[in-house]
This record gives sequence, C-alpha cells and structure tokens, in this order.
Amino acid sequence: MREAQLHWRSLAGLLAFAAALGVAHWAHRPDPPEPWNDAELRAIGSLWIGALPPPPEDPSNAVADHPLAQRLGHRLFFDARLSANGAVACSTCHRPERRFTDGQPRAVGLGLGTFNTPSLVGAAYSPWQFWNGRADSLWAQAASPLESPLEHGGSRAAVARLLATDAAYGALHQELFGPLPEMPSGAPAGVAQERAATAAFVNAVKAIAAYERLLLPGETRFDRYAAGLLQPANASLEPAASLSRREMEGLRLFIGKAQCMNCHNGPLFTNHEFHNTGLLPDRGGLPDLGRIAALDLVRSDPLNCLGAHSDATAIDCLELRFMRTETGLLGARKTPSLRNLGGTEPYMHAGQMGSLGEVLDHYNRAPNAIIGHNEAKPLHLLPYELKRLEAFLHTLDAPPATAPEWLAPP
Amino acid sequence: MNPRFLLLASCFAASAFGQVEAPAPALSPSQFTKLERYQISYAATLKPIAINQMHQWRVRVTDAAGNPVANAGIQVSGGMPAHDHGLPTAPRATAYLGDGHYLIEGMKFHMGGAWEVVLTVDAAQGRDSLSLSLDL
Repeated sequence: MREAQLHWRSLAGLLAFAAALGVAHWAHRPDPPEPWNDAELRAIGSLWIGALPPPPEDPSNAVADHPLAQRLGHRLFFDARLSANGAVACSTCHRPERRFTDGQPRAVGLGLGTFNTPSLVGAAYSPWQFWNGRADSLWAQAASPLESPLEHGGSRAAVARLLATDAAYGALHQELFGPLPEMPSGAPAGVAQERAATAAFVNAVKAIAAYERLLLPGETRFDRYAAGLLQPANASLEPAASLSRREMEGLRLFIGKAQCMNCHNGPLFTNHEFHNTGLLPDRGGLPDLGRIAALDLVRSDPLNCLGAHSDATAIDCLELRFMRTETGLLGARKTPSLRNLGGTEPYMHAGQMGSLGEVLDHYNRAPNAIIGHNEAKPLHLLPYELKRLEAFLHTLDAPPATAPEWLAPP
Repeated sequence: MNPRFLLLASCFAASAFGQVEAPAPALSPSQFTKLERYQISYAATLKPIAINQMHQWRVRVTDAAGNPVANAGIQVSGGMPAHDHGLPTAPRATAYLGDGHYLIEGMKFHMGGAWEVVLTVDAAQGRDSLSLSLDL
C-alpha cells in the first residue's frame, strides 16, 4: 500500500515536472515578438537556399559538367604531385573539413601567399574568382596557384608530364581530350612544346573546375526555418526548424537596419561584386589596390573567356566584355558568401579578423578607408544588436550538398 | 540601313539572351530628355528586373517630334545615389536595330533599392540625357 502511494506520488511529481517543462517550452516559443511583414518575408525568401538555381553554365569550359572531367579533377585536386616539392595540393589550402578553407590568415603553400584562402563551396556561381576577381572562371583561377612560386610552384610542362606518367590520368585525359603530347623531361624546347604543355595544363585545370562545380552549399538551419515560414502549407517539408528569439532578431536586423543585404544578398549571401569597405591592410603591409589592380590582369589573361583556350564564343563572355572599370573600384574586394562562417575564420581578404565580433564591429563603425572610399556608412548598432546579428550568422552553416565521396581524396 | 545587317543584328540580339523567337519586349511610355531634344522609351529583357542578373535593354530614341533617330551615340551610366556607387558593369549600346531602336548589353544591378540609370544621346540635335529612377 505504502509502495503504491509512493508510486502515485512520484508519478504526480513526474507529471508536474513534465507540465513545468511544457510551460517552459511554451514560454520560449521561438515566435518573433512581431510577425514578419511582407517586405521581410520577401527578403527572407530571397536568401533562402530554395531560391538558388543550379550553377550557371560555363561556356568557356566544354567539360565543365562532364562526369569524367569531375573524376579527373577530383584526383588532381587532392594530388600533391602538382607542386614543386611534392607536398602542396589544392586541398592543402582548400581543406574539405574546413569548408575548403585552411584556418590561416593567408594561404601557406611553398611560401606565404598574399590573400586569405576563400571557400570553394558555391564558387561556381561567381563570375569572378579571387578576392580581386583577377580570373573570370573557375578554371582560369585554378591555373594561377599551380604556377605561383608561393603556392604550388609548378609548371605547365610538369603538369603535362604528370598526366602522361600516371596511367589513370592518361586514360581519363585520352577519353576526354584525346592523346597527350610527348613532353621532354626538362623545360619545353621551343614554341610547339610550350603550346603542347599549355594545352594539357588547360585540360587539367578545366577538369579541376569541373570537380569544384560539385561543391555546393547545403541546407542550413536558417533555410529550414525559411522553408517553413514561406511554405507553411507544404506538408512534405520537414517540421520547420526553429531559430531562437535572438537569432530571429538577428535576422530582422540583417534584412533591415544593419543593411547587410546591400551586398550580402541572394541565396548565397553575396552579390559577387566588388566593394571598398574600409578594411585595413594586413599588419605591416601596404594597402592592397583591390579590384582596380585586377582589371588589366583579367583583361590580358590568356586564359580568360575571350582567350584562345576558352571554349566560349565572344557573345558568351558578357562579364568580361561589360566589365566595370572606374576608379571607384580602388581598394574594392569581392563580397564573400556568408554561408559557412563557422570554422572558416579568420575572415577578410588577408585574414585580418579572427572573429565575427571583430567583423561586425568594423562594419558598425565603418571607418574611413585608408585607400579609396569606404562605401559603408556607420550603423550605430548597440552591442546587444551586434550579438543578435552574430547569433543569426551562426545559423548559416551546413556541410556541402555534395556526395561524401567527393569530399575526400579518391 | 542595310536590311541584312538589321536581320543579323536582331539575330545577334535574340541569341545573346537565348530567346531566339521571343517578341521584342513592350517599351515603356516615352519620356523627354532633359533639354527636350529627344524622347526615349525602353524595355528590359528581365521582367521584373532582378538583381545580380546580366540582361539587356532595348532603347528607342526619337526626336522631339517623334521621328526615329538612327545611328546616335548612346551612353549608359548610373548608380545608387544613396550609396555613392555606380553600376557593377559597364553597359553600352552594341547594335542599332532600326526604327530608332538600340540594343544595350551588359545591364546589371547588384543591390536592392533606388537606382538611377542615365541614358545620354548624342545625335544631330545635340547631346541630351534622360535620368531614369528604378526601385529594385
């Protein structure tokens, strides 16, 4: 009898506890204090990953979406033999486990690079590659580090020889592009050999680009929340993910008075354009000229969309043909995506800032630019508002929407 | 204007935005330029105009009396007055399509908000411009 009473008592206690939990849950229901208005819902919809189309075609790369090129590029991406010392692969800096960044302020290959390693996730959407946009395609981008003495320190002839000596590479190249040229063991002798080496090298970087086009952003907590918000009638959706009240208030600031969406717009949270936001150079360094210094580089790059190695016709090269060139681009750098900020610090083009707090503080103050003109204006946000923005930015992380076998060496 | 060139130019225009059989977009009501030397109407190939997408405009230029103006110099500039910055691209007129129509390629806007697009016409009646306000 007494035992039964005890049981009843503990059961009642348990029920009371459960009820209290329910009340606590209700009290923390993550509804925003005010419902989203139509303009806010439109803004949230424009950031939602469901609004992201497949990557734009790359007419300059005939094998951009070829499955064999993806395989060849995958092998090349993780192959450290593509370097002068046999120790630097693309994946040395673009590390899959860090969303294809390296955690270093500036890239470290054979030497110390000039810029922070940007993520490759979603890079296929950008018409310009590098912080200053000095390449106009993924394959033109991939060519540059391979030849840079600070990165891979390789050469076109060395890449051509590697393709010829590795049976797997040779077979894939044969199927995609035809036979490889005969390459001497030393430097190419004469124009014909140089051309042959370049042709094989270009095939290799086009394959690397085909692989990189597979690295697409995944659905984040914000996206699940947005999906639930935008399609409440769609029963097939997972239950809407919730954001905390703080994260929602951060989202409200992001799409509102913090003006982040001026540049960080669209489902990738970037307009892929160039802006001067008054960043200081890397400690002890000279100010970087930014986009303005890249205009001649990309225009004169033999690997650009209009060049002899491009598979595009001139009509396809709209970005290059109608490229903006005015002096307002002094000190401007490409707007990075805000997806996957978690674990991809340090931030900014030279890794000058170690935390999101520092970045937000910078945009809140919008100091005068050391070179050119800072397009951003001071925001006058209060510390609690910056914390809310930061909380929201942490809802934008997710593993790439890419099959796991592509995220490790073949 | 040589009709074969016109045909070529319109094929070029159509294939450039992948709508080979698409009819020409309907033009906006025409507006006078600042000094009332010309009237300009326009249409974008994107409807509505979305940010971060390269597209084209077709612009029609007539004189004050409404007669089409052929072979004018057309310049395109603009920006966001609130942000002190220009267009993200350098659009320009790439073809005269006849009957006062010009093809403008390379149009793009990279932020939501208030934009200004300035179309400057240089022809026999002199130089004059029209400033259009867009809210994206």
